[in-house]
Amino acid sequence: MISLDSLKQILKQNYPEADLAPVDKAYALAAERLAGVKRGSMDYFNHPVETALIVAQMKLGPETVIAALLHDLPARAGYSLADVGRDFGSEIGATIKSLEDLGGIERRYRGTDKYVESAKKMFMAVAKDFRVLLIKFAERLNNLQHLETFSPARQRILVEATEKIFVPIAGILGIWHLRWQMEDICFKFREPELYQKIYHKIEKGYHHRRQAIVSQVSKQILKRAKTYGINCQLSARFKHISSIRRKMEEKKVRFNEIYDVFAVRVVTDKIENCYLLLGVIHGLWRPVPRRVKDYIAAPKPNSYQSLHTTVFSSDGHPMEFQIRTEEMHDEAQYGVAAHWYYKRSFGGKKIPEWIKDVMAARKIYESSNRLAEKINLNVLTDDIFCYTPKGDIVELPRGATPIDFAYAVHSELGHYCRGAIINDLVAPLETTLKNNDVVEIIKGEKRQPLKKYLKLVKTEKAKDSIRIFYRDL
Amino acid sequence: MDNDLKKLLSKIKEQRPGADLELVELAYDFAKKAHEGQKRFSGEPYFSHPYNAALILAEMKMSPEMIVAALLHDVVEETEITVKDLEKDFGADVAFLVEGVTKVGRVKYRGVERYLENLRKMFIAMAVDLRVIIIRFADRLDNLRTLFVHPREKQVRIAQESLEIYAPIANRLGMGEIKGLIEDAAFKYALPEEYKWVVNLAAKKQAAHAQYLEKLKKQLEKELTKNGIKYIFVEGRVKHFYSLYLKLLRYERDLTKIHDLVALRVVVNDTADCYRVLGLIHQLWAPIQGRIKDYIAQPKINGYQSLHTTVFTEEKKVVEFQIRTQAMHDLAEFGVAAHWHYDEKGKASYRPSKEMSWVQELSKWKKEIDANRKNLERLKVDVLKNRIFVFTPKGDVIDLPEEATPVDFAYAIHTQIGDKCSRAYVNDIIVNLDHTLKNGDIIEVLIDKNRKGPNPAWLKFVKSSVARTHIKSATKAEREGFLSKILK
Repeated sequence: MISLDSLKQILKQNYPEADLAPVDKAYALAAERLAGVKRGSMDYFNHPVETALIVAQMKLGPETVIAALLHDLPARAGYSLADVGRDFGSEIGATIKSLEDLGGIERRYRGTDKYVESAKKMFMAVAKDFRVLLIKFAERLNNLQHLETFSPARQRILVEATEKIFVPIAGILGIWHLRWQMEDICFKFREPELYQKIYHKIEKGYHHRRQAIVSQVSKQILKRAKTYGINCQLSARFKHISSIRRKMEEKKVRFNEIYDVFAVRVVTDKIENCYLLLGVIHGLWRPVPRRVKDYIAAPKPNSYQSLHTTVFSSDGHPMEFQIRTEEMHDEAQYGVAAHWYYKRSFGGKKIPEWIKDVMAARKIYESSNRLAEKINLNVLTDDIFCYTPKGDIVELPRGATPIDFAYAVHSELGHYCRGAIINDLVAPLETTLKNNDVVEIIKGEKRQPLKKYLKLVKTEKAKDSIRIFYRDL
Repeated sequence: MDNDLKKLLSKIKEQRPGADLELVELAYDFAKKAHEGQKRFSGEPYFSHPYNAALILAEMKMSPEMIVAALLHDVVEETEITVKDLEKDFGADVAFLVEGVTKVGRVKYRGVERYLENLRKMFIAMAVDLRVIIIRFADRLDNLRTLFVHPREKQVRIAQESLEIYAPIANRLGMGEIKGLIEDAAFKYALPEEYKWVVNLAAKKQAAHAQYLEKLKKQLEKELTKNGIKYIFVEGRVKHFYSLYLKLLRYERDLTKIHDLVALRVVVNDTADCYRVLGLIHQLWAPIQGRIKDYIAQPKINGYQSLHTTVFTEEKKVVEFQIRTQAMHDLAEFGVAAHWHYDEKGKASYRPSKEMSWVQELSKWKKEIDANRKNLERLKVDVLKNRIFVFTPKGDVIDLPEEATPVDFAYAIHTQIGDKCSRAYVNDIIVNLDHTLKNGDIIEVLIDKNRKGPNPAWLKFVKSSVARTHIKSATKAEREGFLSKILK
């Protein structure tokens, strides 16, 4: 019953006025129907309960939690969708139906060629009701957490499908908290030795240090913040093992020099205080130059918001701070789910760009299958965002070059493109663009893309434009 | 009382209310009489020069003693009056200052030697009292402003010396305002074609920008009031021509790449408000990532403090903002002298502080002159070259000459580290020992304990004299050790 209590406690905190009697009912029903059912050595009942807990932590409401509790009953315990609709309302019934459909897609998953197809279907479901997808993520995470209860063959499929479908989509939806956890488990499965090595280093070298530093740092910050009348909470955040590894590979840096192996989060009530806290922190420790990033005023493409800075801490290790409001904090962890909580819908002005893209992709999908393939492929990679010299944002896939940039701005600009200036420096056209690059295209005299550009471009738009140019010639 | 004196006195009163003006009046009459009948090269009465220098100092909020010394600064050199005479009439302090700025006598030295001896004397004097160099700045600025009457050769020499010696010193003392004035006045003569080019290029654009800034200023003031943030003033600032020119050289001479051609300055009451204003500006206009610079928490080498940020405005224009307190603002304009403004009488120390070790280095400059006596056409002093500042992993600031390498960094920390350095990480990425360091880099040097000593090949790329000297002496010692071994 401990789980039921904590489940209700979380719900009460986030939805003080909600009627929780149906939650009791759903919990009891699941307990009764799943009694004695096992998966491996585990009681099957643990799975819906733990999934429901993850859902509740994302600040989703009672209906979604109930759907999570009941999601396995129609398939496993002879309690039909019609029964759900009768006892808990048709909305919850429809949610579970969608979940089953998603599961069906995944069961048919047999390798990479089907990946795009499945991903598209997932997006279709997303567009209908985001909550379905969030339950699915929670459920998947929980299955990964109990990976050993599955057969070896099933383990492999679970991990592969997670890597190919769930992780990228979780990234796009901004559900970082779940994404990192899923990714770490997959990494552990794939490369157990390397995982252990990094894990061991963190445990040994940093975990211990972290506790001491955070409590010391907190004391100093809280004391100063108090003199300004600012309320704030501090917590340490560990970088996830798979992202440490990626960074070590990308930048060829040493493990212990990755600044944000651990960062301190400072959560406060309003935006103005975020900036004051930046001042407080800079007043206590010297900032590392060029590391102040204002993602509050200029959010990341996935709508992540925070004020970042890195300082030289007293023990000689750089320490990153992430300063944000509570709302930003929830959104950083749970992305789309937090939106659900704070806005209850995506109506109104604040629709994040990427959701618009998903919507647009869905519309195009309905009209043309081929185009949708391309668009979804682009959506699924981690996109980067560059600026024109005038500050307009241009969204590009990772690995894009200045030529892609030129075509993304305008196909005519692409045809004239002969060189590029990136961040005020002349750069070769082969250069891989990075997030936040300011790109200026140098135009040539002649309206004619070079044929070798085909090899350099990454976007379908650029490829098509160049092909069409030569076809029409 | 004549009008010039009235003007000077009212300027002093305006900048430093309550200053004792009696001595200034006395010095004015004294110097005017002493220079009676003497003419400048331009035909003006000679006295107009010390008078203008005094006026410049008054505008910089300098103390009456310094203004008195400026009025008298040429009487010892150009008339029969001696330092002793001045001490009797104006006190030891003024006499000391005048002696510090008086150039060396004519007899002993000639030509280049005389010129170098003057510089050396100035460096030695400023190691004892920084006010001396500030009076010389005013003296130099007035000379530059009347340079047009002199022959081309003298124009170039004075202008170059101003750019290579005076302006860098003003910069290192944090005196941004006088540095900018000296540079712009000298630029015209040192590089006349380039000067014309920059003025033509920038003038029109700056005028247009200035108008736009006025609009932004009003908008910001309104928002500041609306958000209850008190401010002292908001002002537009236009970049000086010479510093714009240097920047243009770094950006392929393309004006569209210069984003701080004009900037808005916001001066507020305290540091917390600086950060509040940063937040407000960022909520109004989107900041460009990577351009947020906190010189409040991490001042520049010369002590400059401000929060900088660059934003895209609604009209998609790129504008820089500089946010600071009044004290930081004074420091930015008047540098080391700002500390004296608010000082109770007598408490201020005019000696360079311990951190300003470069002043001591300058005063020992004599040896280098001797060694380089032959090629003095373009005189450059090591400590006055552009500096960068980099960090140890613990955040200690190390100040190095431009284009310094990890080896220079290692020697700046400790001779032992320099002698035994084997590898270096710059911002966590491993680099060669001849890697060029940039401002703000974080450097970690790894040492090889078994290493015997530095590699003579390092001499090809090190930039600091400290590194050079140590490498030379260590490799020499090693050679001698080797020799003595085989001779034994």
